[in-house]
Amino acid sequence: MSDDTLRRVMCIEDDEDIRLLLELALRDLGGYELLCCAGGEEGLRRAPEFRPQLVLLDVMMPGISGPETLQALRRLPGMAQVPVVFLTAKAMPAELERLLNLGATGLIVKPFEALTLAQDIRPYWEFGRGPKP
Amino acid sequence: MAPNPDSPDPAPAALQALRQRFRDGLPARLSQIEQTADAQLRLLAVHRLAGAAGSYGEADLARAARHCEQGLETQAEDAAARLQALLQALRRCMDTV
Repeated sequence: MSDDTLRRVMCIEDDEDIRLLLELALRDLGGYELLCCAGGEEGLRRAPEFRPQLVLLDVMMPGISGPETLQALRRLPGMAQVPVVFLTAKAMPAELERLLNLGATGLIVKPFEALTLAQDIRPYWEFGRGPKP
Repeated sequence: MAPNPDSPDPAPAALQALRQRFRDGLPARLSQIEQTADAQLRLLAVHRLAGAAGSYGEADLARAARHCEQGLETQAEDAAARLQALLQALRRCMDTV
């Protein structure tokens, strides 16, 4: 499958209600091949086989936090350049700046709009791919 | 594929079903927040509620949860009052279901 099209999206989110909303928004409405994981450990275990082209990552989770998961994801084969977008319920500017400085491609602040999320994530993927040769 | 104008858009119905599921789960969320003695677990439960409530259109509940979360995180003097306000907002939301 060509990686010129965004198809495989991985979400790491500990709240089940949010995961279901992400499945509706991205798989059912957006048509993406979606892997939803309930925590950082599961995401790190399953990412190498799924080979996501974009990762949506919750910040505050039990076990491995979002920032810790991001660091570990970057060390996995093939994951160093994959765009990672933090999903966060925190909207304080200082906190958002801190998260971006950790190496995330972008931030989506909860609440997100389920009906437009499939389109809303595309710019992060396009930005993360960088300029075309 | 072009949408079929004769078929109702399935998105609102699916979203409504998930909203109802979220509302059905509010008593469990309330119990978790109210009964846990672990401050970190309570903070996590409030944080989850803040994110989910907003995404499911429960703006007042999301606001109360976020206010409570900030109070718990910063150990604000009025953290206990913020927690009680959140529990009241949760009960109000459950009563309107």
